[in-house]
Amino acid sequence: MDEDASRSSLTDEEDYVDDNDNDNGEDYEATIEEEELLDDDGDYADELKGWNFFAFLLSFTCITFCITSDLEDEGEMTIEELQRKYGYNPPGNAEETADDGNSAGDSSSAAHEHSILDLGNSQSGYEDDDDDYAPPDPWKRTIRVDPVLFQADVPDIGKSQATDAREDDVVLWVSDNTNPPSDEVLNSYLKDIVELRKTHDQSVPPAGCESRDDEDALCALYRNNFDTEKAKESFPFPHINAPFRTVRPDALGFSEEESKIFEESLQMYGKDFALIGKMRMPYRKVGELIEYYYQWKLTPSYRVWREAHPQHVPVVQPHLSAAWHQQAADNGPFTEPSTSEGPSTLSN
Amino acid sequence: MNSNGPLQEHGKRRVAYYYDSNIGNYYYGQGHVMKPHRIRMTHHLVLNYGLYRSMEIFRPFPATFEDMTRFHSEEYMLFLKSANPDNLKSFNKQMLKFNVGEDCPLFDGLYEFCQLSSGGSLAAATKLNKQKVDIAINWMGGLHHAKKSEASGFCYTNDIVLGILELLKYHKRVLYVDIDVHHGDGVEEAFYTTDRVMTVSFHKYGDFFPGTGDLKDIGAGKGKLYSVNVPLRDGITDSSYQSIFKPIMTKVMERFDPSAVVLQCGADSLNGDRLGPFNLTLKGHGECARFFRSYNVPLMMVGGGGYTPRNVARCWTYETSIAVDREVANELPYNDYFEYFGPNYRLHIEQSNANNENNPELLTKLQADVIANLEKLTFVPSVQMRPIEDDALRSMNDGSALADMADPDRRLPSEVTDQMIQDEGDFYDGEREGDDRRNESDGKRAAQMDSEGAK
Repeated sequence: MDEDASRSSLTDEEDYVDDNDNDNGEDYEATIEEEELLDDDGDYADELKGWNFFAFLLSFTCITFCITSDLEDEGEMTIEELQRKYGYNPPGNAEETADDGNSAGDSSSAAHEHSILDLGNSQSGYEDDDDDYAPPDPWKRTIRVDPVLFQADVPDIGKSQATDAREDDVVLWVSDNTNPPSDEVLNSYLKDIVELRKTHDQSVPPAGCESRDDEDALCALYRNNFDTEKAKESFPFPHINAPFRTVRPDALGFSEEESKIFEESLQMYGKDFALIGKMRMPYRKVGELIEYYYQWKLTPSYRVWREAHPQHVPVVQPHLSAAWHQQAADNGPFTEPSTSEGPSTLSN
Repeated sequence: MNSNGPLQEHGKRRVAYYYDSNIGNYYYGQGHVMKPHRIRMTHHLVLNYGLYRSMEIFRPFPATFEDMTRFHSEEYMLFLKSANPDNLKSFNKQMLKFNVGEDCPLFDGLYEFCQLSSGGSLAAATKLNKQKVDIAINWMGGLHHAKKSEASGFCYTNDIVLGILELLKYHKRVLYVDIDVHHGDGVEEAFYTTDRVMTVSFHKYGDFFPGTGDLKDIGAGKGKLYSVNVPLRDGITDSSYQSIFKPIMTKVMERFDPSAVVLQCGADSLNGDRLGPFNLTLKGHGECARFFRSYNVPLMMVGGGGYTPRNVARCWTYETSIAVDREVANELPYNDYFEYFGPNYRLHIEQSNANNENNPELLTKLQADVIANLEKLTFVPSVQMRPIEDDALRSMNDGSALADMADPDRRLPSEVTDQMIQDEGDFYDGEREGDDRRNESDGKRAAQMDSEGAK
């Protein structure tokens, strides 16, 4: 791999966001602070608040709709804007309010946004009710109490010992407790394994980190009672912590052709890997696409793709993809994307 | 029994580490800030720092449906098990009811993801119960917002609650500490009314998810005073965090005297997190792990939030190094995801010059209020103080009560016999073979003694 090119900081430019409400199809792995450095003197604190507010809204749109009108008072964004942005449709009846009945978030508990830490008097939130009207704190929640609905059943000590028979975990490495192999022994063993791998055309760590812990080699050593010679004889080693649930053991690497399809699909569907799988690569498991995605991000082709799609917005918006999944499941591959239509299967 | 205070910092601890490589291959969805891939990045750093060899490594058995319904409702788990992106149309109503769909999307492999995350914490708890290790780590876990019948804040199943329930089978009192930037509401709610679990959460409070965690929320019923909340404001730094964390936790350890501790290491309290407004560095965050390591008490460390993946990987790698007590270089070792750690490729992160809204007066007052509540605790509460019956016997943690009460004609469960320690003066063969003295002693005599011993 072209190490210089890929090293030159994947993160400081790729995840540039020009404002906080458009998802251009990127995984934001840079920090907000770093993004701010790109603008001079951006208002860091405000930006963060925007994000928090955004996260909060996302979290609560479902169960707090009945009170969200209050948000208009405090947010710079209107509900209509937010709904448009996040594709949210109000549920007709808020079933959840029943569960949430004792919530402090309801409008009766007058609250003081800026005095929440003024808690010397633990009742202050309630006693200051006679102040001028302050909008209620729609963000506040309380812990709900109902042993059936909300609390865990706490087991008695010593009881139900029989029920804790879980299937055993797979042991991958436990050092010899009585006579642990020294770092020198391990390092030289791991070095030998690197050589073995080379002679068998297996991938090896780059120069300089030959002695990194090799899970498969250490497992072989453990299973051969820390006898390095016997362990080496057992080579080639099985891949002991392979992601066998998400990646088929015999899954091949991506061919050039597949990589091309993958990149096209990203442009089309964004990172809805399940949809990509269904539409374009049905012979792949979703996990294989995700694993490939994170490897692909380290390659020069990713940089090329980014440059070709600087402000990429997938044709299928994330909130619509649920509908698309349904459509795909119902009709097989679809014909015409209709992104303008309000979704969704989520709300009614 | 654990009140003898901090031990020497450099005592050796046996550390178990739980990881399943599938975990990085689940994806919440386009634009979603929660990325399971961060756990794979952590794992690669752990490998490349050579920390792996210093631990015991396990791939946990995924939690079963029955495992998870020990806390979660069957209806909710059935929904998680059967719903997928292709059939969600038929689950409209449940999705609303269980809060799945918006920030807790229904992604491909969701149920498996829950099984792995919960399986790790259950296995970690079981390992601690068997006293096979002193510290058990599961970075796949820490999903503290999940409720009994509801997903919340990117969390679907609450591995922490499941792990604590497992610990409670052997431990009178379990302490849960949460240093995620968000309030640990799911765990607090699950144990809100019990005095056998104390939950302590340090979090940003005020117009912030999940909206719970007010200082005045202290638990209910029998659990009153056993929920502790430390609501903080934006921009808290390492030094000001530790100035309140240490005194409060020291007091908690003294008053509650837990026999096991679960530390949720949510990394969204670090500077530069995409969601969290705190200003901690790895050092201040890791200091919390160091604090509990210094006590001679079984410790479970789980992950949690953290939305700047490379900083999450840095943080949990550093905390793994603290658990095994190995120094790690600030230069990151080359690894499969090295490029993600640019531009500086170092382990540690800097703090920013963001304003710290937690001034010393505020923290002092907060600390005083929290400690005043802790002072109200009956000194070292426990099951022993409940009505007598056989509770008192059961509460003996070492299983000796079980052995004493057991039917002599039946074999004891291995959990009990594992912990039996033969008296030095015993010359006869125990239930377990392999004692060297066996070869030195008179066979006849031993047999005789053995039959006496069995009476």
